[in-house]
Amino acid sequence: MRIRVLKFGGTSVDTHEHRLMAARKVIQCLEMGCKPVVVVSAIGRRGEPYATDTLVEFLTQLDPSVPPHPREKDLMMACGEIISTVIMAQTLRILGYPSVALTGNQAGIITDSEFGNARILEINPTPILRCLECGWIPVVAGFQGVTRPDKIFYRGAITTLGRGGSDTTAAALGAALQAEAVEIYTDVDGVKTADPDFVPDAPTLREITYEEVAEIAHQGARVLHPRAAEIAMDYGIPLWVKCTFTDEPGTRVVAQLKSGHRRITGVTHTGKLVYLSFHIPYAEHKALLELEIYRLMARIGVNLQGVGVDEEGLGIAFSREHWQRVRTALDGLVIPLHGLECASRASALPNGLPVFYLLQFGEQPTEVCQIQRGMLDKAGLGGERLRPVPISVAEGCTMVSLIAHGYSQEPGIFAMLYQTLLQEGIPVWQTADSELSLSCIIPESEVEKAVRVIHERFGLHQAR
Amino acid sequence: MLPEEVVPVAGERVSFERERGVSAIVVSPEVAYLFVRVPDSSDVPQQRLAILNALKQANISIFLIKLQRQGLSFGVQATEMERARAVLQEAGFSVTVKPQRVMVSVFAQNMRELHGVLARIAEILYESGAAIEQISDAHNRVTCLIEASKAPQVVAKLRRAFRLRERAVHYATRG
Repeated sequence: MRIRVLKFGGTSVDTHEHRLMAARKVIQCLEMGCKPVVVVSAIGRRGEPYATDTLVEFLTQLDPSVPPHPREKDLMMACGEIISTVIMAQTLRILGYPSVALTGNQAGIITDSEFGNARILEINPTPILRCLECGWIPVVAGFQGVTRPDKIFYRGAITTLGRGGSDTTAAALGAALQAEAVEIYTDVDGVKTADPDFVPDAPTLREITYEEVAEIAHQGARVLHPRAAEIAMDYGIPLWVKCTFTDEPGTRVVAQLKSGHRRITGVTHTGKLVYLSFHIPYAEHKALLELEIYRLMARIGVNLQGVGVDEEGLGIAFSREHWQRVRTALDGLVIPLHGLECASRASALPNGLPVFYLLQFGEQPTEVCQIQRGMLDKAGLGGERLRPVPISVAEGCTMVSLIAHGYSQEPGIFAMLYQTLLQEGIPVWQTADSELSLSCIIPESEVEKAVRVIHERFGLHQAR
Repeated sequence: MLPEEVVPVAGERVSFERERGVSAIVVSPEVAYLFVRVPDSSDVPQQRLAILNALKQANISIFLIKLQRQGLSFGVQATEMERARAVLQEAGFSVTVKPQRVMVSVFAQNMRELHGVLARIAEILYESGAAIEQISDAHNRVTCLIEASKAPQVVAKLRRAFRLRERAVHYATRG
């Protein structure tokens, strides 16, 4: 049986007209002699009535001080895709094609119990295969699965797969069903060399490797979730990124390029970041203070990027959605370094007494810092035993990345990137590099210009 | 009409998706790290650019590039260390070289969605007495620059901490 998995994102199913265009792709697949398996995302994006974010807001706004239980939150979020499957199945039925809407559970997708970011453990392909044998088009709710039965939930609990979960569903079903291809349909005609909102004539890449697409996605391009690329790569499933609204061929995701050349693939930008720079001019405790900062970020569930150290400090960036949490955790934080820890490295003071590091935003201590300082003074722990660690903040920043597979460490590439930004008066606050990409943290206000000039400077209009 | 049975039934099952977490350690030996200070504190970005252009002219590859308050730091292959130093000193920059370094990269898919891996790595390095002289992160790895002499102990501890088999440790060559 020739099976193709066709996944439609939120903007492909948000209006009746768009759903008809998506249905046309499904019908074309049938006309090619293939059996289509459709995966859909929730209808529309933030603000629209059945979009995932809207459903979550509905729940969280009941009382913002009481966070919903992750299990219930997943149950709520899963509703968006379920609604979308029923609507899409009905659209196909109206056009004369028998179809059946399936939840993740009904499609046999079994996950672990990490609500909000579940991992697929296994897929039972039988329900979908039976639908196909009956001549029905299965329309599967993306982004969701179900846990294995336990003592309480003997049919399991609904889970969601995290960001880009519908792509993951499509790739996973492609693997489980041994599909001849997985086609990810979106509102752009493939993987572009840059965000078309910033570079309207950015070309579409004909081919891209799994590694490149994973890097592009991780660096901010919303084309395909890296987990989907990873599954497709592991199972050797041909993957395509195509446009619902055109007949352009799209981008084929492959293991290796035919040409095999190293190349510059594109320029991406991540979302909204905050960059913090800790001034730690205390050599004897710098490593330990850095470690405490990493530990604290892990404890409050904040993942870091753009990490770098210098002789007197540490820089970290993180998503702006965590900013309030980070600020609350760090402002006025006192890190005491006790005798034992000091003894293992170097004593903080000649008499071996511990010292207290007070983290403070900016040069002027906030009210919280002043209270902390006052309490330490009262306890006789101030004076030379109290050492401030000022933190400077760049709230409005983002990261632009040049995706340059096997090319990023060539002599002069970074110089060219840095020069391009400086010539345009765009400040660079920090950098990161790997074999696949070169990234710069810059002010968010400059991101559009940065993407445009990098695209131009590296000749990405010629990329194919 | 709906199929009679669309709930999961016993049958052929396909298991997949990789385990989350740390999957490999790659040690890149024979690295030197350079801290380059600019001669004056005015217009540091332009002076950093001059550093980069001097290296470009000399056809020297650099990595682990970080902007410093008063200049720039980066890694080079050990074989390029002296040439990089000479080029930059000739251009009027003050250069501090840390020879005999290695880069230890800890790999995990979707590193940025895993809480605490960076902290755990930093803990292990601290416990091993290895100072993190530079650090960089990507979506699938955290790379730490440390003294070469500390590498065997660090790698052994990382392997134990992340329960990796011996074959999960790789020794890379650059270039």
